[in-house]
Amino acid sequence: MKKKIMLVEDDQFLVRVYKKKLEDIGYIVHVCQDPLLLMDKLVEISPDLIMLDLILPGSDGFKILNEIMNNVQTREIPVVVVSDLSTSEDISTLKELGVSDYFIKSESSFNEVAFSIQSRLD
Amino acid sequence: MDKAEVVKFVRSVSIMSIAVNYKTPISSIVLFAVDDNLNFFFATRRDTAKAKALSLSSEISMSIWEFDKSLVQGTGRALELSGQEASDALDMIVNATENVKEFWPPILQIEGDDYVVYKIVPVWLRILDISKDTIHVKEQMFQEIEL
Repeated sequence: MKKKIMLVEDDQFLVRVYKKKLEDIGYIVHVCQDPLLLMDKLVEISPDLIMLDLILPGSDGFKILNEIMNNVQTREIPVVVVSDLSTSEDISTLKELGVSDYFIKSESSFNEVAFSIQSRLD
Repeated sequence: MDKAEVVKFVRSVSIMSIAVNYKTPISSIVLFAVDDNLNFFFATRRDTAKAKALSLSSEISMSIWEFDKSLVQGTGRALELSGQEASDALDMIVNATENVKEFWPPILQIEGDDYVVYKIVPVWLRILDISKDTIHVKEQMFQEIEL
């Protein structure tokens, strides 16, 4: 059975590229571009992994992450963060929050992200 | 090589170099898609030098090549797309990543979300077969592609 990924990203081009490439390697990809709808979508779809951008319109990515990690229905879902935030404080906070992996967009290729996802799902 | 074969070749490459003029000549590489009429599509951020250049002049030059196959050169006009046309072109460009599995477009590593999508309508195109070990200099090495 195909594994499901919830892609939380607002960049219109990046969403399309990630979705296509993740589908090409065998995953079902659900996209959420509105952070306000995310928790409901996560409960409804129950994905096997969340791929999360922390910089989303009108929302604090760390707050979203906190919600995911503190909700009994979502806290066991691995979260891979792909974001432009890159300070050591940001990365420390992500580690404290328990994200599975972290990638800086400007320094990461799709293959690196895909390898991390596959290592958690396959 | 007929038009369909040229389309097939450029579609298999999916990355091209472009040159535009922004006070001085500037070049760049872009991921592109192409339709059956040899119109080319690419996207960039609105704050890039090439987008600024194209806002001043739509003239653009391009080269697409594979070292052991062919070189396609052309000049045309880059028209900014909007609405559904831009969205459809973005989908075509995303599908073009199929041909370049190891390539991660630099545009995706640049912060920002204000994309501009272009359609290049060529004024002329030509192709040169570079599959042979030696290219003999003759009167007409390039083949003009009928548009």
